[in-house]
Amino acid sequence: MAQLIDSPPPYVDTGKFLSAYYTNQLAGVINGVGGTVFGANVPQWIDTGENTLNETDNVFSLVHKYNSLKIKFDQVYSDQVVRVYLSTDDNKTGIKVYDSGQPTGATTITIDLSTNPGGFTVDYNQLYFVRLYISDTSAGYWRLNKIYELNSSTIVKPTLSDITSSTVITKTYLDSLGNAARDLRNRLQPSSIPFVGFNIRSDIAGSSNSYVRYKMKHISRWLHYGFQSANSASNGTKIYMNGTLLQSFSNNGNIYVGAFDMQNLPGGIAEPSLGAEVEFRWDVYVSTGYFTLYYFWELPYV
Amino acid sequence: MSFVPTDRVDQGDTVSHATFQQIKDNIYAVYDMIGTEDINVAAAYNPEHGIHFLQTEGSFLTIFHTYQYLVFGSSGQIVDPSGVGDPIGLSDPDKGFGIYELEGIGWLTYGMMYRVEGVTWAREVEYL
Repeated sequence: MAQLIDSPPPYVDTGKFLSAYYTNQLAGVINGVGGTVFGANVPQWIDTGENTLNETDNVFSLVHKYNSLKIKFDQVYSDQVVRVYLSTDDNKTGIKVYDSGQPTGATTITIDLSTNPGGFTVDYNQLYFVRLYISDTSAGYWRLNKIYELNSSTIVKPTLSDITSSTVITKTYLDSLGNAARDLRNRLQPSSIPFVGFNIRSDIAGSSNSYVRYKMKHISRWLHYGFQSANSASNGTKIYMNGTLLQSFSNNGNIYVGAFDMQNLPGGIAEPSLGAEVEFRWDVYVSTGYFTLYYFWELPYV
Repeated sequence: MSFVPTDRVDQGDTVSHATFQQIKDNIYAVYDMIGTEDINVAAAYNPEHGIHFLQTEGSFLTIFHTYQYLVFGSSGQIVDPSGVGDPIGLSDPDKGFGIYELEGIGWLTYGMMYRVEGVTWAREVEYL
């Protein structure tokens, strides 16, 4: 059976007994959303380039939940045009719903799906596809951060009291826990976004042009990696965190499997703040053979 | 504030305030981590088929097995990274995207990671 989060318990009634069943059901929901948030933390791939990205060269998939579709760029330039195509058929480019020049810098394009842009319609929980056209630039390297839907309902952390051994637990208190469980369960069903792995046959390195680049929110202690280095006489495989060299590995064709302890990083590099967005870049050098990055993600265990 | 899964209680046990305090602390830990923006992130594609294709032939997608169905575009295969399980071929129909029922794979269990090779895109979904 697929891993789904338990349903929250029903609201309680004053005067009724508090059962183990209720407690376990409540704890089960919170344990489940905790597993979603604090479990496997798969980073998003940050694609970058200076040449044109044609709409036939990419396809992003979404299960439709929210009407505000966002295309976030870390970098575009004023000599570029971006077009967005939407389709419910992965064999078709789809409907062009956006076509515009961009300002230089970071920017986010917003498309309101509730307006059926260009006649595009998609049902709740239906799979659909986003394709981008990004024109080339002579000003540098464009960088796509991520594509996502934004819920117009902002997350609001409830105010819940601490309780002690002398606290009288009331229906009001238990229902407040139940409401929090409902809110989190509605928002945090497990996702299954794939990690984008690479098999690379030539050098790709540099703070501007390496497309072996990922972003994630720092959540868990252990940053796991698994890769096979290529053979290169002059350079090793390098991992950078927010532009700082984390580690260099010899290029000897070996498979490297390990985990960084984010609380004890090499060279005394400070752990990023919990919840902060972190960018990782791999500089890859290949003289012979291939570089293969199998996985790279955070887990709460080593 | 860290997240510590709450243990089950058995009928007849004494449920202490500590259990509910832990549930409350865990609720706060989740809210503190997720922030205020509720987002649904798109799945990226296999870079073997993108603009870097001259360098990225043989690239793939790695997935933590979470849901029952794998949906995908183009042909490829599901691969056990350990090499123990046999690869599973994937073929895309002429119309619509490909669908594979993952519970039919004997070597694949929920929570396990596996690779999807050859396809242009892939992800798991709960419903069809």
